Amino acid sequence: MPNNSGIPSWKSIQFFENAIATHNAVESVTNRGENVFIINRKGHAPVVVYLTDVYTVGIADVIDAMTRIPDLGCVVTISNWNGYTQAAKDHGVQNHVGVFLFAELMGALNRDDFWAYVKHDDDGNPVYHYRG
Amino acid sequence: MPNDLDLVFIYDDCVCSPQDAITVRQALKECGARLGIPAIHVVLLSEAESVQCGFIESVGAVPLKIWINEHRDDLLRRLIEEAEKNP
Repeated sequence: MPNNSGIPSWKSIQFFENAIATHNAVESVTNRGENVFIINRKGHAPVVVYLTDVYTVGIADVIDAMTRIPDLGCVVTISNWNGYTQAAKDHGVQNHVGVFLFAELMGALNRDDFWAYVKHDDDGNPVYHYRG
Repeated sequence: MPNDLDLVFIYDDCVCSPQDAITVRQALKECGARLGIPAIHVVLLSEAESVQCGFIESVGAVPLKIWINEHRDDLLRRLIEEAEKNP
């Protein structure tokens, strides 16, 4: 399973594991290697996350991750200044794969249909991190 | 000559599949490593994605051909050094 995407730094991985472990809905986190993590949740099915640090997650990244990781649940790009394209997001949702920034994942973990989670602003408008 | 290079590879998805684009990204990284550029970050976008998000305009990307012309001498020097190290 070669990793062709932006590789998160060890600091990012450490941050990810620590932050996820403090989430109310999370029981434990397992590092499966190659930047793939299993998030075991309380009362919900586990979520398999592929962690990347690619600046803009495109549809090719999502398709590549789905091909390499058959049980994939989410593609998460770790840095706050990263983003994704609408095509990547849409392709993921259609295939029940969430495409998120880290902060969005934290919201998504409370839901059974985590892949469809969308953050909303104070006025109730959906907030996406589309590049551009 | 930078030690860090950000590239965007924009592909026509009628002639290049997303999987092929992934292969191109790996090849670009390997090429960069041979040129002594330790970190190459490659964003892959289909033409439609690129247009939709206005990526080129938003990051001020320039075609690789122009960049190569600007760094031709240094690139050649690095290639020669690499060839001498690994004849």
